[in-house]
Amino acid sequence: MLKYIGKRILLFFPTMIVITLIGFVIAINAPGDPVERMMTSAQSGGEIGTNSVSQIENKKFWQHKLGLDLPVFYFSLTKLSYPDTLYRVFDRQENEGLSRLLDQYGNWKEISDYYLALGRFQKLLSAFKLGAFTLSAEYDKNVVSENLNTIKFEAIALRSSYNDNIINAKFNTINNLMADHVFFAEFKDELKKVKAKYNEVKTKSTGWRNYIPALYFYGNNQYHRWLFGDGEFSKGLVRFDFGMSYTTKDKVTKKIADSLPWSLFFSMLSVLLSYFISIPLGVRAAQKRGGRFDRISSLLLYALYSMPGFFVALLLMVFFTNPDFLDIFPTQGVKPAEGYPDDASFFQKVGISLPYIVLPLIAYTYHSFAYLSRTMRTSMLEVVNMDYIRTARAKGLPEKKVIWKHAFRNSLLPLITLFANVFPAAIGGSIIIETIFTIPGMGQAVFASIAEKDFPVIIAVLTISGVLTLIGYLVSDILYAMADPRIKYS
Amino acid sequence: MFAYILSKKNLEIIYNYIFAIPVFRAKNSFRLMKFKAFLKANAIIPALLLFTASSCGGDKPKSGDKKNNWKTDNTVVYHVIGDVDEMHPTNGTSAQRQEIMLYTQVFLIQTNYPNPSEPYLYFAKSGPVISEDGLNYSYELRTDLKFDDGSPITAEDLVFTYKANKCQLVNNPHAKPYLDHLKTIIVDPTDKNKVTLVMKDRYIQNLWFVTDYPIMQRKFFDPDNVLSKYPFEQLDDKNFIGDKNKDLKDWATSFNDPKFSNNIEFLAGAGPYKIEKWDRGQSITLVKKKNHWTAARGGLYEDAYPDKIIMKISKDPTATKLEFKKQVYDASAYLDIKTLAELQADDEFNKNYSSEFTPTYNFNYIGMNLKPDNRHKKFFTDKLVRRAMALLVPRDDINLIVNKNKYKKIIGPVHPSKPEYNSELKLIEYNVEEAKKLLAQAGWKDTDGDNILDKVIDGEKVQFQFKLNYMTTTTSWADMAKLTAESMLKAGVKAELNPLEFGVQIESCKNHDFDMYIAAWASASVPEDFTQIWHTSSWASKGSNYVGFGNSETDALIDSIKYAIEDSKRIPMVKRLQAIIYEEQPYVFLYAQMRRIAIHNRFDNREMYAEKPGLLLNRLKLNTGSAKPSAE
Repeated sequence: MLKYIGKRILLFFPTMIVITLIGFVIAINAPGDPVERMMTSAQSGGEIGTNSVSQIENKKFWQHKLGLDLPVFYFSLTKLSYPDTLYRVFDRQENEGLSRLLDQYGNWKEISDYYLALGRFQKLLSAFKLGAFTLSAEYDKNVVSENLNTIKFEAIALRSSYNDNIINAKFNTINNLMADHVFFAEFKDELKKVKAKYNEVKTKSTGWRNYIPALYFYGNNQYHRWLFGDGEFSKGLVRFDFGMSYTTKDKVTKKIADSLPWSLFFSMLSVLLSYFISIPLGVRAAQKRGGRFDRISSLLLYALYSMPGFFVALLLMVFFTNPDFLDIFPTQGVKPAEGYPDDASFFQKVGISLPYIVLPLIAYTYHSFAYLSRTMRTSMLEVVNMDYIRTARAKGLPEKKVIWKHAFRNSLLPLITLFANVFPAAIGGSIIIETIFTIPGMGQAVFASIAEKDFPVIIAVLTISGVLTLIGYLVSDILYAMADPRIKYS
Repeated sequence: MFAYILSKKNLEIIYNYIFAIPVFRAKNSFRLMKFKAFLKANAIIPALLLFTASSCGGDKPKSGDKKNNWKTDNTVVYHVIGDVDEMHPTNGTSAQRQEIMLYTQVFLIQTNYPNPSEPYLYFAKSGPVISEDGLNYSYELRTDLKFDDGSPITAEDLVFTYKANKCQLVNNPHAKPYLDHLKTIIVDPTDKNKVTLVMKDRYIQNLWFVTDYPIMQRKFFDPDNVLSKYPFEQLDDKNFIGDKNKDLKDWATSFNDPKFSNNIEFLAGAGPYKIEKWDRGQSITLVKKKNHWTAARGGLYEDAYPDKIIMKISKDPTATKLEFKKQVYDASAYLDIKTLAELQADDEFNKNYSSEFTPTYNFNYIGMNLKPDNRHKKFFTDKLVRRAMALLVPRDDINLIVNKNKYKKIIGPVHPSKPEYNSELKLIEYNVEEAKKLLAQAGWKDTDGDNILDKVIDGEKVQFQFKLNYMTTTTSWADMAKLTAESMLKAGVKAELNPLEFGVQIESCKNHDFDMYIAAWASASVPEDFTQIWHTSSWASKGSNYVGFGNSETDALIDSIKYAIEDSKRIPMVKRLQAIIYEEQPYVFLYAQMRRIAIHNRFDNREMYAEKPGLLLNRLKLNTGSAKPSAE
């Protein structure tokens, strides 16, 4: 047994690497940009001047500072046509555009030259001195400005375009504008160069490179920083540091430590309650199979099972916390708004919080009753038909002893399997119930982190959930062996 | 007991709390009646649940039976819908943080709620005196303001504040653009209580940007006076690399430390309140400082009537409603529309609370892609089509169903209460027939008899079928989208509903990757700079002109408006801009939002404002005769 546990623990490490990596990649590739989110001020109601030069520089600065401009992992398996530096194009649309061009033409050198030429063209557009030009020439400043902006937009759109028809259409738009307005003459040469570079992309196609795989290695990558720290915001996972939350700018571990106790409290208490109630229910239903108790309990439990959590939570709230109806519990929170009295002892605090806990606990728990008791019932039914139970009865043992001493232990295995899921569920919390009852648990924290693109928190929760799942299955295996001595792991 | 539970009134209550579905109510009242009947007939399960619990708990008197049940403590329990991200004086972006800052911090000037066109002089004693070229804003500073350690607030602290906010290494990327127009700050060498903010250009918001920066104590946040070595101009230089200066880097690391964000011992501020307790996800408690300088002075922000302000979080509208009925809360500016409308129908609530739907400067709109690239079809490039869309949006129905008829219909981006509002422009009312005519004029006809209009565009037959994006943040967006799509179908326009997560919608808008979307913009009473949303430069650089509106005339107007400090010059230009936007109809303008405020009658000074956050909690004065409901 010990050898088995040792083996399983050793297996944790490769499994953990895979789990953390999958979690990491999913979180990093989720839509939305965390830096953009950090720069979005609530007071502006949306966002502010994202077009300003300082804002763009600011964004680059923070992307670099947080390591978001690094490759994701130690290596990438890709096509020979792809360069090992494509990750540096941080704008997702542009990155996607370049990738699609590579898929079509397979010639990074030409594509890169075209991309750089486009950059130079854009730089020239930006450097265009509107005021000085329009003062010396007899053109309407606003007409110049409007057309310049159209050209700028087409140039930006070209950076993420990959369809030949679209690219040509955009070149034509720019050409026509330049032909119509002589004040854009100074851009013509640069535009010609861009078009020439694009033609080179098409004529010097090396599509065969797309069929040869390539492997690139990256010493400094986001995953590495996450594991071993970045020297500024995180000491790394190896030192049990999950980094800094982008929203609270505090340690992720602190954020989790603040929220986890409430989720753990409710889920553990809920597990205890549900097992404590469901097991006797299931056993009794099996004992009286087809009887009135079995039928009524099935009906009621399935009725409960079919009701969604938010509905039951609201129902409980409306029934039991309503001055128009029954006002016997506080509506939400886990303690009074004023907090506990300064001199309250632990037990006094528990006493104060107890009324706050009742309804959320019911909402957390009721759902498990049907599932657990039905599982227990089925399992027990299988066992009570076994020969050894018949023998026990034939020996004249009292029914109570037959059920609880001989049958019960052997019918526990399916419940033990379910028990493995308790641990990860604890960290996930319940978003809906926690929101309705304003419980500061993990459910709310995770939901807020997803909405805020707070990747370090999301990745940390995914990782911890993974670890807890592994622990849950290990505990289940140990419990199997304890419940049924016939199970050997050697 | 059982009969009581199943009484008609109680079932009505349950229905109203849980089952009321607004869209159903207006559109399918017959179906809804059947649903209610079904509910009554099938109430056995909830009733059984109730029976179990109520047999243990027993009935309590309804609040309506109670008299003189107002709380008498001088604590305001304030309803909020979210937690603060961090309370760092420069870092952090949440709306709640900004609200708390009003009570815990001091600003050079701040919004003057009763008269928002004039600044409230807070640290400033007088000013600003604006130079003739409109670039220098000079203030005389007060000398009686003190930090909590007793030391006076000085010009040095003010200079430090702007430098710290400007420093590249400080973790406040959201706040830096507001300082883009500031060139430097000069303290008068002959009088340390006079400062001049030197601006780079004449910009209409040069006066107001300072309201975003609370004044920080230099001695507390920069004991080694590191920032004094770096002039503001140097920190503003884009070629200056902060990381290369060790002392600056070390200072920034220590300044960004989470302790200044989350540890209440380090949440320093010179305002009349301080944070006493912060239960993450639950509440934040502010307590009035003892023997504070504000007590001698008094004023809009200096007044500190409540001893405590508890900001208690409740995100669920049902829970919030119940807590208001139980008088747990004393005030809110965040009630949802349905909740306040329902509470206002309750006599007991009206006896206990003063409540109003007050105007805000925020508005809802439907944006259309005026300049689609080849990813999207040219549905809305013709202004006849855009006008038809405006005629097809059932704003009255949406307002009734989603907004309980509380929001105000608008014609453009300027709030009707502002002096620059163009009142000559008439509301565009719902008219399907007129919309059909306009669409036909624009060449959209149903040639294949499938009830969807079509047109040949660039040689290709295109069905008038597109995606209508909306956010999943609240259900009201979905309701608006459904009602709009349903109405458009009557004219042969098929809008497919496309719910998107908030961040994804913003990203798609910035990338011009949409046909039509529903969203909102926030604004304020201060003179507006229209560049961000309406200038073509904001379209070309993936800014906030998502729809691609603009031409040389509007650009010229916007450029002139933002530098027109005098109202006499600015207002006619803003009116002209509104007329062009109205004519071009790049948005279907829906409503000016209303803020939902409730304040308990046990407090006096129940003032409600259009400007955020809508009320000032420090001004709520406990009504000493509050043992019974007032006559109001």
